[in-house]
Amino acid sequence: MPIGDWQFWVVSLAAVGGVLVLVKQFKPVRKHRKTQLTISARERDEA
Amino acid sequence: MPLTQLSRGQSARLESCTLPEFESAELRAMGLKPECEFRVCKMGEPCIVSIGPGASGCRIALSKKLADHVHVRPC
Amino acid sequence: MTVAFIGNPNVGKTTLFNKFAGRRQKTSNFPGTTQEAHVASLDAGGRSLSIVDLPGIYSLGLDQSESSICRGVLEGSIAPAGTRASPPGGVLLVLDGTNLLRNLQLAGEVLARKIPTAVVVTMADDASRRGIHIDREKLASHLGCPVVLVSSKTGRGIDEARGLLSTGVITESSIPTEQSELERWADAVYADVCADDAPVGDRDRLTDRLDRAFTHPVLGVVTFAAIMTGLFWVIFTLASVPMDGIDWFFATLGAVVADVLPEGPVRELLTDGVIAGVGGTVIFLPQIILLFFLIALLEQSGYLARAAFVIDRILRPFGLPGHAFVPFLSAHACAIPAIMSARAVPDRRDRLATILVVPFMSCSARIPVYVLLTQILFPGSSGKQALAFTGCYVLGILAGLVSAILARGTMLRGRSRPMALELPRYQLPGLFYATKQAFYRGWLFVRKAGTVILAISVVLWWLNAYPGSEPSPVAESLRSEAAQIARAEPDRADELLLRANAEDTKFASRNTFLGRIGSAIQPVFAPIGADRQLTVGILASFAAREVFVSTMAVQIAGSEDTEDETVFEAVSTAERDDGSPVFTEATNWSMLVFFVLAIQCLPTLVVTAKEAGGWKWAGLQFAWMTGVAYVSSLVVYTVVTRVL
Repeated sequence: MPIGDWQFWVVSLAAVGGVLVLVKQFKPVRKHRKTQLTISARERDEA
Repeated sequence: MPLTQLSRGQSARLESCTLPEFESAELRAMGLKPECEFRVCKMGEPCIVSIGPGASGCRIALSKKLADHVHVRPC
Repeated sequence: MTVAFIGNPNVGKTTLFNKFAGRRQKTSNFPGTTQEAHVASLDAGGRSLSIVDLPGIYSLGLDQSESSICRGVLEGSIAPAGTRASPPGGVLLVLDGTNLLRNLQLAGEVLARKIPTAVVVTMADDASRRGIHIDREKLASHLGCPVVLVSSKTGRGIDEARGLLSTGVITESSIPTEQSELERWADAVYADVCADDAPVGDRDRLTDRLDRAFTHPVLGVVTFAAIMTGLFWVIFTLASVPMDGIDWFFATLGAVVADVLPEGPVRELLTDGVIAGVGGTVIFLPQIILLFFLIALLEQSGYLARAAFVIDRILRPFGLPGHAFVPFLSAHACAIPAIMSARAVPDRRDRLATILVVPFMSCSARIPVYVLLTQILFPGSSGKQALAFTGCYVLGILAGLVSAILARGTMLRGRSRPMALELPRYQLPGLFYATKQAFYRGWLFVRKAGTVILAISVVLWWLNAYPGSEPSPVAESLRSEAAQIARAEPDRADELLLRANAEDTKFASRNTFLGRIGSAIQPVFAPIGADRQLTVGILASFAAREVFVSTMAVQIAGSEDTEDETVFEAVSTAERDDGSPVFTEATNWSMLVFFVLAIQCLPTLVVTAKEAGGWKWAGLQFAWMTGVAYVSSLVVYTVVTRVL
């Protein structure tokens, strides 16, 4: 690995950023699911 | 008699639906309510009816499975 | 103050909303597609309002997601994302003037909730043309709130309706809540406010005839097939021009960046990672925009609701509803917008089954892979190539339908819901809305897929670039040989140098993280005929399948340009590490089958997780599709190896 090359650090940082973007894709799913659950729970209460 | 025994162009009034609660509720909300008058536009799959007084109203297409459970009185 | 727009499907509610909000939004004729809540802020009557467009519903009391969203918003328990949930300060009730009787029932349900309400009656001109005369004063006194008649086509009443947004009143009329009493109330109000004695007209008879033709068991299917053929023909012919343009643009951009930046990893990341990755995605944009433009035209014309019944007859035996038609159709361009359009499928189990199997359809990203493999299989015979191509599409559709049967028979078991749809009036589609709709869909695609694909491209590029390696021993010896004969045979020396560079690329690709992962995982794919290089191709193309072609090219030829004859030749005659050819006939067939059936698309999985409401569905989709692909490829590989 060309540790001494500054460009290596730039592209590696970009790759880490890419991984973070991919990980972030998980978050809204969890939220989405929660709202769905709350809606159905409320409707069950109403019934 | 079931809706499926009417013929094209005939008018009828709806008597009852023998469908699961949520399905008959849906049809009722779409305009197929008890005693409503409609005209048969097409028989078969799907069965198309035009509901409503005079020129107003709407067209509902029903798959045959639903239409079998819709009971009507020709008029 | 928040004002919620509420009304039956297809009453022109969204059109009215667009007129007030001036924002891109969906207008549709296919009942029930406006499931998203759309919000806009505006000034009306000197007050700043935020208006919310609710999904079209027939009744507040139904056991449907649209109804429960509307109930929740009126009660203040649900709000569009990003806004605080509180009961709306007002309601704009949108009623269809040509179908007032049924619309009055929903009006009664909403008014009984005692929220300040104003009423807009749409299609007023249309109604009076049909001989339906609505007495505005009487209607207002029955409903106990202000009423305005509008016509979106001529713009009559729009400004007045805008003024009503903030001046709704709580009705003082007593409105029954029990359903049959409510129906009687609606009948009584209708009889008093509407003079409607026109008989069934020519227009209805024409509609009857068209309906019969479009839903006919034979004629309907023929019409449908003709329309679909035309649709795909238009998409594939017209889209190729902008696609070439986009291809050229990104190639030029890459060349410019390569010129401007000094050599080094940053330049390579930009050209091979970012520009190639984004370009590879954006190239499908013209097809997607065109497809949604044409679907919007069909939707607005009123044909789509009829076609849904034709499709219903075809899909029903497989446990899928006619509503799945738009998702199935759009999946042939790209699975991502297809999965998003599965929102229009009303039943939850039907919707999940649709989402799960839709990626089996051959999307346009598979085309480059099909092109490469069929060309290697049948060099020079375009007829056989086309046949194999069609076979790929058919295989995908069949796999999807069979998977749907299995899904509906196991975890999504349950009676599938028979279809009942309102058939909207036939009308001339508006080009303006279709265009807006198409670009909106295109933008969603770019935003959703673009970020993920960009991220994946960058990460993959990094894995494929590091850790770097020394020049390969073979290349070194070629170079020294070239140096010796440089004077005597300069041409041959150049050739040797080129070969040395290619050797270096091959050697380097074996030593990158991706190459090492490929070597480690290769035994898994060995039974379906893949060597280390193909394994890397399969792994890399998991991000996006079109990457397969460029990955193979990079590994084997050391050049990404597959248009180049010699590069194509190099790929098709490439050798494995032991010297035998990579693409034997058996491997070729096996890879083709694998790429038809495997999911190989991370963005699709992300969208599945979002739309189905959990990663377990995405996991299931991945496991099922990859499993089916692997087993099928294994069978194909074994059979072809044994037989030939």
